[in-house]
Amino acid sequence: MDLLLQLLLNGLILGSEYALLGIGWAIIFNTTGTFHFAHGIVYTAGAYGAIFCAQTLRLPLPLSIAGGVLGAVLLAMAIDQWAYEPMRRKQATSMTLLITSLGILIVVENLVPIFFGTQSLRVAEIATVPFSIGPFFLTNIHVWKIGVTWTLFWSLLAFLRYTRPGKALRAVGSNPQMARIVGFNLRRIYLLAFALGSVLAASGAILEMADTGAVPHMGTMAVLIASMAVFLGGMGSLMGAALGGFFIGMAMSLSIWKIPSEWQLTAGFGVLVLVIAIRPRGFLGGKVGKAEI
Amino acid sequence: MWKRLLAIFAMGAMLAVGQPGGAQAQDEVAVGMLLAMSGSGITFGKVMSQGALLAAEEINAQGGIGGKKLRIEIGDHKSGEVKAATSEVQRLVNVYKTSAILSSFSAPTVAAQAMAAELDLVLVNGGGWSPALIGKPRLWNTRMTSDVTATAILQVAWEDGARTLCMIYRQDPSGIDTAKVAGEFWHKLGGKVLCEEKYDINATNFSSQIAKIRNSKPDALVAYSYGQVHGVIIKQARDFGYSGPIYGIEFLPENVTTAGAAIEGHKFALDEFDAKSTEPATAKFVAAYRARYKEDPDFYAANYYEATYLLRDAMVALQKEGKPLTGGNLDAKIRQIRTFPSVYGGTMTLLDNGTVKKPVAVFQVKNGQKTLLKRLTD
Repeated sequence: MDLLLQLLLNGLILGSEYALLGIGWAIIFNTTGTFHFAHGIVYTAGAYGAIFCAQTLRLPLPLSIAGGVLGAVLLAMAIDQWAYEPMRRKQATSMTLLITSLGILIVVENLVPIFFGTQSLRVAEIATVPFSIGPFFLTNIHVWKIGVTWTLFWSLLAFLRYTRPGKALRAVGSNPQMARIVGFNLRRIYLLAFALGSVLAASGAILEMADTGAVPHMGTMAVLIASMAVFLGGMGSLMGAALGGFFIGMAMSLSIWKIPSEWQLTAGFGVLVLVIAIRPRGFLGGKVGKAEI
Repeated sequence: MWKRLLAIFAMGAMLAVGQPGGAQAQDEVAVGMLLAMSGSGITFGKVMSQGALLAAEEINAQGGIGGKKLRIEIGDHKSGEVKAATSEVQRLVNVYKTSAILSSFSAPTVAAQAMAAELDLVLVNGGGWSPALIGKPRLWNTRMTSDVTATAILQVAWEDGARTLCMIYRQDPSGIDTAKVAGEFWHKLGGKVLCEEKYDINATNFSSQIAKIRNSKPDALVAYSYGQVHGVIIKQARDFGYSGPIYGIEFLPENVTTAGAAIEGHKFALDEFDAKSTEPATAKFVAAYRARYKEDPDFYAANYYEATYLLRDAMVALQKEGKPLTGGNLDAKIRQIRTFPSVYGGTMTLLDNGTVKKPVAVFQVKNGQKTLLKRLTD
């Protein structure tokens, strides 16, 4: 029983981590329709940006974290402005944008080792403090992962529901042509979506860097999990993306309770295949419509 | 117009393949490398290539291979992907006409070895450790395979008082075959394996495996992992409440960065390359490496440095006999020479089964530093 409860706790931690990835990717995908593979390198930039600020610029920890997030946001906005937008103007298909995005991910990811080396890096000021609650173990970083994910998630939902820019994001995601006709500036809204998604990605990356260290390829798996979470949860639904990410993490953690651990990743992808086979629009895709965020 | 441009482009491409910039020129001898140049094991690719490239620079400064320039061409197996490895082997052979490849990682090396006879190649592996690499035609291992290091560290665990253990390893030949050999050895000692946890090539979270290991309550945990992941496993073992001793057969300085204080006390058996040694060959290599790369070499850099010289010696010997530098001839010549200079100090001798006899030692992390505990073989 202790094992099952520890696996549930691990699932909560991993699920929160994946939910954060899913939400960040979803806000961009739902609003702009861009299959943003380069989100992976934005994620990596968040971690390495914080490391750069802490180790090279010698900034205090809070400023280093802010620097990492800001770096990621600027990179994402630059990618949208100078890579995606010119292609959109030329009526490029979503597949062309996807390939471009994948290309950016591969190229920039391979540039990271040139500047930062290939070894795993961490910000030394962020200490991991393990502790136990009865027979269950976790660390301060895990608590941060859970806290940051759900705080950002509910804050984002409130932003989308109660603020003017948030409502604009929802409107553009729902029907970009109509939104343009009624006077919304699509460029600004797109950049806002990339900025918000990147704040979430960078936050997750900095927490992951604090937990296991930053490595140049860390973004590839992250963006894969993020897109899986969105498809599992249902395209167009932010709640679905959070649910999808959380479900994948929980499934991967709990799956090895009774089956060998080498099947863990298979279990994660297996859940995706199973759910998509039964509900092609994901958990919430069918219920709440294409652009309900 | 377009047809003409296409024809000119095609002709240019064909000519380029015949030029030094593309394929092997008449005045060059190409040696291929099959390394992790991307993915989770990129650190290995970096240090291994640095070792070989340094050796090639020195060899060329000394006149090359009988007057021909030694050229290193690197293929990327993406940190252990078999498909990438086989495609890169084909590229190295077809484009660069190489007959010798310095390979790394167990799964890519096993895959490349399966192609060696057909492509007339000889392979020298200085990184992969799987027992599956032993006794394979046209494959020479200049790193101690894990049948030696894994059993050596288990002996240490036994002497430390452990009687039950759990193992965690990667789901590939390096992990599976090592665990098989280690499990058999542990049973022979009289110990019991309580659990075996495996992880996927892309895994970064091991919390569930650790939970199962902790739940089994072993006397010791043995991690047959490598690269950056090794540090993550040790850190997560401590984070999730495993407090017993942790043993292994791998160590990188970056594991300390990743694991922090959690790695303190970790014991591991490893090829014993001592960068501080005063042996002339070691000192010369270390000085040259420091001058070139501004860092100390580890044993991976040493292995590929001396493996490049091993191939040079075999090639020069063949040239003196007037024989072509084919994979078959190189394999036979290596088998004939057997004993080569080693930057570990003195010489290294290749054995009949394609393995090598080299110094192995047990180390422990103390105050964040790799510290020698005891030498196992000389």
